[in-house]
Amino acid sequence: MSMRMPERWDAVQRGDRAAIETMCRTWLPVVLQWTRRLGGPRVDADSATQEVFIVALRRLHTVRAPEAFERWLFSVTRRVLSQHRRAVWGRRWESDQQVDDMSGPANPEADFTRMTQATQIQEVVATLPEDLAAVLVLYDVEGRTMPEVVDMLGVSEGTLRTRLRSARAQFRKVATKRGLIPEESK
Amino acid sequence: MTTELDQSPMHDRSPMMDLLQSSTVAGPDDAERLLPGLDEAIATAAASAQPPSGRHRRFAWGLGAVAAAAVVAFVLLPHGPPPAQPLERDLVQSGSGRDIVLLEGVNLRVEGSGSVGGTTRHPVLSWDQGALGVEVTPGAVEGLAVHTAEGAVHITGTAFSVTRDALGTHVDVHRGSVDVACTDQPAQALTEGDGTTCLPTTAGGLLGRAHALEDQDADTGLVVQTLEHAAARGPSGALAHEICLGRGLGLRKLKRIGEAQVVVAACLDGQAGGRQQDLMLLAVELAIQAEDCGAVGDHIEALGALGPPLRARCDAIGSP
Repeated sequence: MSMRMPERWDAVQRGDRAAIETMCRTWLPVVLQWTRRLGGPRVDADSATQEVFIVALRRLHTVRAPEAFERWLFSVTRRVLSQHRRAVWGRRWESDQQVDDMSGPANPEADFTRMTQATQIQEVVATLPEDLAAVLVLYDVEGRTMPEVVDMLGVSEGTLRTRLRSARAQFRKVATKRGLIPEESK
Repeated sequence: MTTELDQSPMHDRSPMMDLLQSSTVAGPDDAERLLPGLDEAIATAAASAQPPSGRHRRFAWGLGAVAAAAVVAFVLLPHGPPPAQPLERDLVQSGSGRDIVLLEGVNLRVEGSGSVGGTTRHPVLSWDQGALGVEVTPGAVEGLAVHTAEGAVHITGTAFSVTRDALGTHVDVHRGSVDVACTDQPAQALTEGDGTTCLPTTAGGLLGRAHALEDQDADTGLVVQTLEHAAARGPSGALAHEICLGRGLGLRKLKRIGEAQVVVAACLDGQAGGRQQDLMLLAVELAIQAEDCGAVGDHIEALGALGPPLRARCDAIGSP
C-alpha cells in the first residue's frame, strides 16, 4: 500500500522542497485523523497535527528505511499528543474550575451530555490509557489488519490481542456508564 | 507471519466505531488548510538536508516506549485524623482537569486515570497515567500516599503536584515543606517553590527520558549514558532494539565507531525486534565509516532494494 511509504523518498531525504511538500500533503490528513481520534475533543487537533510535522520535519533524516516512516510518524504523533494533554492539564491547574464533590453521584458527565454523539465517542476513547486507545483506533476505527498494527506499535501479537480485548472492554464500560450504550446490551 | 493474525479477532464494526471513523475523516482540503503553517519547517528541512554518508545524524526514536513502569510513593503526614472509613473509587478524567474534594481538607486536581483506596485516615491514590495535584490541609489525614510509576518518593507537606513525563516524575512544592526520596537517590528536603525530578527506573522509562533529553538537545554523552542504564535493565523485543539503535547512533555521533559497532552487532545477533532493518542499515553505515565492510555482507543482502547502493559504497572502499 502506497500509504506506507512516502513518495519520492530519496528526494525527500535530499531536501527537495517540492517532494517534502508533497509528502506533507499526503500525510497531513492521516496525522490529523490520528490526533482527532487519539487526542479527544479537548486537544486542538489542528495545532497538534502541525506540531507533529514540525517535529517530524526536523527529524526526518533519522528515519533510515522508508518502510518505517508511518510507524515513526505515528510514534511522533503519540508523543506530541501526550505533551498536548499535559499542557491542557497544566493550564487548568493554574486557573481553577468547578469542584466536584466525591460524595455526590459519580457523574462527571454533566457537560458530556451536551456534546454531539461523535464527540462523546471521542471523549470516551480519550479516557482510555494511551496504549489501549492506539490499538482501538488503528484496528477498530481505521480497520487495519493485525499484522499492520503489530508493525505500527512494535509489540508482540499476544500483547496486541490482550490490549485490544482490554481496550474494547474499557470502551464499553465507559460508554455504558455515560449512556452511550444501553445497560442491557453489554 | 500473518496468517493467524489476519483471521482473528474480528474488527469491531459497531455503529460507534463507524461514527468515530466518519466524523474524524480528514482529506486534501485539511492538508491545504494546515500546510501554510508548516512553511518555515519545510524550508528548514529542505535547507538542512545533507547526503546520507556525511549526515550529522540525530537519534531515531521510533517507538514510544514512553510509558514507564516503576513505582512512586508520595506520602504526606499531617496530624489530627478523622475516624477511618474505607475509600474505594476510580479516578478517571481526560481532556480538562477535574477538581475533586476527596475528603474535607484533601483536594485533588485530576487529569488521567487512577483509583483511590485505603481509608479516610490513610488515603492511597494509585495513579496510572496523567497528571495529579494534591492539596492537603494539615490535620485532615494522618497520611496520604500516591503510588505512580517512578522510583519511590516520600513527601511530607501541604500542597504539591506530581507531573509524570518522559523525563521522569517531577515533584513541585507549592506550600509547606516536603521530603522527597526517589528510588536509588538520597532523600532531600524541599520547601515552597522547590522542585525535583525522580528518574525512571525501568528500561522503557529510561528510553523515554533519553527521548526527552534529545528533544531538548541535551549533551549526547548524557543521552547515551541514559540509554546504557536502560540497556542494563535487560529489555527485550522492540524495546531492546529501540534502545540499541539509540545507543548505536549516539556512539556514532560521539565518534566512538568501534563501540557503536559492538552494540549494534550484539543486538542483531540477539532476538528480533521492530528495528531490525534500521539496525542493519546502521551496521552497514558504521562499517563503511570504519572502512571495513567484511562483516556486513549478509546485512546488505538482507536489505533488499536498499542494498545495492550500500554495496557500491563498500566496493568503493575496497571491502567485500
